[in-house]
Amino acid sequence: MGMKKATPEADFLPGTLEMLILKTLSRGANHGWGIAQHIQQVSQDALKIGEGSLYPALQRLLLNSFVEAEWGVSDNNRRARFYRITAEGRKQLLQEKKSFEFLLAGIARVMESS
Amino acid sequence: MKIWKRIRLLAQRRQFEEDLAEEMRIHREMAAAALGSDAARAFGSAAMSMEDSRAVWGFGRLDSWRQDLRYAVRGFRKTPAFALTVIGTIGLALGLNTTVFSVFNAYLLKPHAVRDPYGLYWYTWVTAKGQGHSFTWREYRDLCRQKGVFSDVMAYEKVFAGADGHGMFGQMVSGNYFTMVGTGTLLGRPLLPEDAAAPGGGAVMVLSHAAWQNKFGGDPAIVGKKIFMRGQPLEVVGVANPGFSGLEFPAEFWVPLTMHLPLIGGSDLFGPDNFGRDNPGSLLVIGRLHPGTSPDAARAALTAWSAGMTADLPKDRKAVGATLISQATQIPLTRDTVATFSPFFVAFGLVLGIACANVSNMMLARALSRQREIGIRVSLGAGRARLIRQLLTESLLLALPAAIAGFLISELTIALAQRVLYATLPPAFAKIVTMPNLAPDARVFGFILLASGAAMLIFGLMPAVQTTGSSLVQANRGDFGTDYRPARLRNTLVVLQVTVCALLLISAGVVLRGQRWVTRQNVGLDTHHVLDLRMVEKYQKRVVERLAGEPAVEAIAAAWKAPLYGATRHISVLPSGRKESIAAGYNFVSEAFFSVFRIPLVRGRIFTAGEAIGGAPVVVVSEAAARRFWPDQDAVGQTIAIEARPHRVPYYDRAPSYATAHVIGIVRDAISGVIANGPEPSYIYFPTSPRDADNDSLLVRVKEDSAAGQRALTATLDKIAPSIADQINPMDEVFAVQVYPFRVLFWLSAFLGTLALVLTASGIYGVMSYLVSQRTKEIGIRVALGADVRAVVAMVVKQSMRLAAIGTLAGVLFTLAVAPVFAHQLAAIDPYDVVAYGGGASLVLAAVLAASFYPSRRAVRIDPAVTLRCD
Repeated sequence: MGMKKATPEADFLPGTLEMLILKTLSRGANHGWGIAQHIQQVSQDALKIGEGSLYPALQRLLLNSFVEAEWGVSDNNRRARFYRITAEGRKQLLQEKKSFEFLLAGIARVMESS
Repeated sequence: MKIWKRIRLLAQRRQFEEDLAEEMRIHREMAAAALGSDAARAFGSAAMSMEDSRAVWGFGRLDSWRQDLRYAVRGFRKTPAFALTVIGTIGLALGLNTTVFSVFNAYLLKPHAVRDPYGLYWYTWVTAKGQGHSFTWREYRDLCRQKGVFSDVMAYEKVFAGADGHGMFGQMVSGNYFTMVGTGTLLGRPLLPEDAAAPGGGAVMVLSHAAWQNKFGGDPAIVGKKIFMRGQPLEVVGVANPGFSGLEFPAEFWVPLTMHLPLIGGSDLFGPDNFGRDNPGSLLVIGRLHPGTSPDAARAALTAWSAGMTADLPKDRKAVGATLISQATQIPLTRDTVATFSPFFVAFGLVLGIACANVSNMMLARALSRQREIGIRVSLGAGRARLIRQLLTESLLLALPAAIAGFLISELTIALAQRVLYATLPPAFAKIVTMPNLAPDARVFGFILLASGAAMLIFGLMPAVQTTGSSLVQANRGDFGTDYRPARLRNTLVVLQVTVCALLLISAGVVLRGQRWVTRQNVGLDTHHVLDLRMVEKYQKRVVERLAGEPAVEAIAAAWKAPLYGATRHISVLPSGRKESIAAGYNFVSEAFFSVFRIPLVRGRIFTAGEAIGGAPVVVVSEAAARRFWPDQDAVGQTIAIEARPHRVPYYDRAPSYATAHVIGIVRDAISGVIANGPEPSYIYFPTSPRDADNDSLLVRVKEDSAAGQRALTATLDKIAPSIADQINPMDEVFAVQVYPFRVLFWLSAFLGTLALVLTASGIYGVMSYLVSQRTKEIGIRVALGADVRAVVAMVVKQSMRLAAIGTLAGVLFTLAVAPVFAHQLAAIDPYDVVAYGGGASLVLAAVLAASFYPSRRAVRIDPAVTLRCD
């Protein structure tokens, strides 16, 4: 899962990428490139997602029925495959967010201890 | 859920690939547009991304499965003979095992087609001596009033009676039988409580589906017709469902219990006589447990009830416990019944084992001959698990058609076995034998799948693990010949096969010798031209009077028990001048019995007709009894004292009405019970006459042959009343029935033994041929160096004979180990029979010798010049 060390992209905790994708899609349907761009912009270039990890992650979400895919037309009038979050996906996002925050808080406590 | 998504996507595989490729192409275009073409190059391999995406859906594994499957199919198409041999061998063994399982299933697993069969229990109380109880009507009524144990109880009595001349097993049942059991009818209606409302009433019957089909030709207008039974007309009111053939014992008809007096006679079941405490009951009961009552709780409650019922009785008649037997299936599934079946499962299972070993060896040889291929695969980086998976796929591909073949073979075997059974059974008995429904059901299919799966693991996994276990270097060289382990596995398999063969053939020999022993026994009875005629008491006197004037009849006798039907009845007697009593076989016969069976008188005299009618206190004893009772004295003139045994059912234990009897004559020994048990060690004949109660049989010696005599008898009997005889059995056939089980067992074990032998011999032949071709180079060198032809033959033969000797020895030892189980059960069976052991062992050794001789001839023909050149 996730990235290989050798790639220039950021390292993720397992499952984090899926969470980010779901979060992105929760604002509205988007295509692969759009998702990657959105994550990069919002993270202010801290997180760069390559297709090598984006597409397998999307397949996992499809397999678990957290997202649906459909061909459509993009803003600049080009054909693109749009991903839409499902009700199950929203539930999953909520849950992942909770456990991620819990984890983050834990890590923070460890790092801040003297 | 996920698996469905995967499968759905797999079906649209091409669409998926196109979508993904297109999507990534667009992705790159967008990236290039946004970042410039330099940046897009940094994305890495598109193929890798595709591969990772595919992996999420598990296509990789499915792909490799499909590859394996295609590869295996291609391989088998190239060697169809191999595939067919495997399918045939495993299919045959599977089929035979499925047949055995079908029988087991029909009797022990398949529940009766009734409402909640698992709630039905047969019940009796038992005395301290473990004796069961038959209930009186009053006891049954009392049981019905016990609330909390059974929600409903029915009473029944088993009968065997002729209906329009067809002997049939049936049950006289209380009126609630069909409603309690919960089974409907195919035609007409079931018996209802109204049918059994009043004693003497309810002259109606329900036929079983099988009886309707087999005895009445499936007559669609049977409902409403009258059928005569024991002279009584009974109206057929219904035909039961095909799935229901009676609880506890297969029944072909049901009649209300209220017909007891007209059909069975004796004292009135419902009358005041039967309310006395000394009356032995005749009813059996089956109840439906209250929902929520466990069998244990019911047992406790019934023990308490039966203790109360027998509180005022002498100690030996007091009930101390309750027996409950589940009636969900034809035979209750208990440890004992399974143990009875287990020898068959073991024998047939061993044949399946041999077949698996054979195929395993073939697969092994095949895998070894593919060593180079495997070597190349290993060096190209194939993992061991991947190789094993591929070899197992090949086995699976063979196991499935083998399962189908096995199913077809079992269907054929069942049909054939039924036909053979009916054709070989003595006709009088073939008519009354009932067959269980052996149609396959879910359990049978489950068994085939499980068994073929297990077989596949045995014959597929072992070679797969073995051949992939060697090192890369060896595999690459194609060098398995020096690897010792496959050889050891192969040898073990051969030894096991030979062991099983020896076991089966020795068993066949023991049974065959037993059969010869039985047929050679001097029964001491002349059964030719003697007919056993059975009917209820009330007709016996009239029939004897009528038949006495019949020209076809030479002599006619009455007997409590006709001989040769099985167990000998025993009675305790104290011979005069002796201190301890002796259990002796006994019977009640009329004076003509000895002339009917031509039993010669040795000393003294036979009872007179007057003594027989009056039941005089005189007895005739067998020679063996005379010797045993009074070793040094003349038996004639001695007396015997008979132990009083009150309250016994005369059907099982009939006692004379006097305490001592004079011995008036000695007759030649005869076998009265089981022939396989040998002559009776002592036998006493008490006098009776056709006027007495409790005689089961009239024995008639006819002048012509039995068949013609039977026709004459039937014609005469019909003049008295229609269908009064329950059965007319030629005593020759009764005798044949005693030998029959030995014949069946012999043919069965001989068949299995031969099959095992053929499989083993062909297996050894294959292995030896393979070994010879493996060692071609070595043998070539030996011959080139001047080895003798005989030495080469000996080398090959010796190798297989060594295995055969070990296997045979193991087989003999194993048979000896299980022999004690069968020792002393029947005089006819000697589980230590030397001839059977010798014969079985030498047969196995001879077969192995023959099987390895041909390959050895091939070794001789090896031309050293050719073989040395070929590498």
